[in-house]
Amino acid sequence: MMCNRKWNRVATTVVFVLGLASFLFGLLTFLLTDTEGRSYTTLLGMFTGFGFGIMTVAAYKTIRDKLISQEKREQEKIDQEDERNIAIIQSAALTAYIAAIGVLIVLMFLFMGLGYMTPSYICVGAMYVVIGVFFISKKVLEKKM
Amino acid sequence: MKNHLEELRSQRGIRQDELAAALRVSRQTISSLENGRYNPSIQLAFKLARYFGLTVEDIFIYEEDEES
Repeated sequence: MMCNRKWNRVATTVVFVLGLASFLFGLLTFLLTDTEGRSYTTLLGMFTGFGFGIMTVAAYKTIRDKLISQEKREQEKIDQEDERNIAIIQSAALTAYIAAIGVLIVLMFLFMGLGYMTPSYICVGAMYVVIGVFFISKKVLEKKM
Repeated sequence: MKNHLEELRSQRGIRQDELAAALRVSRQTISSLENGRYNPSIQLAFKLARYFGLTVEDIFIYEEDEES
């Protein structure tokens, strides 16, 4: 149990540091360099926003973990490892992945039919990403059970 | 799958949350088991049997018709 908590803390710290790095990179590059071009400034804005977002999530998680009682923490752990909850998550995830792949296939054909090749290839790539994520989540959930 | 879980629990005066805490599952899982909405894993079935000092067959009623 302690080991799991320790890993959670390490993961939260890593996420916070990555968020901070992304936030500072985006902000400082925008302020200190001569930024020209709309796509370049948008990219820096994305770095700043994304970094701030995950940094806030990590900070919230750390504060929450410190504030909640031992009893509630234990109950959350039981709920996370509960076999029925895992079965429900697995079933919901499978439905979501199938729906996502279906939508991507439709979009792929639609874009190809309209002559937009690049978006069509992006859909193919996204489809492989969804399939990959599905297998990773399946492995993670099987480990939990 | 039908079972005698609710009956056994009431006989012993145990609340759903107490049983859930003892087996380290959620209270909703106990409720779903009692209503027959959820079939437990073999591990949980054995945990239940051990908790009540009975065999798995004493708690759960397997009917072949259920599979069809």
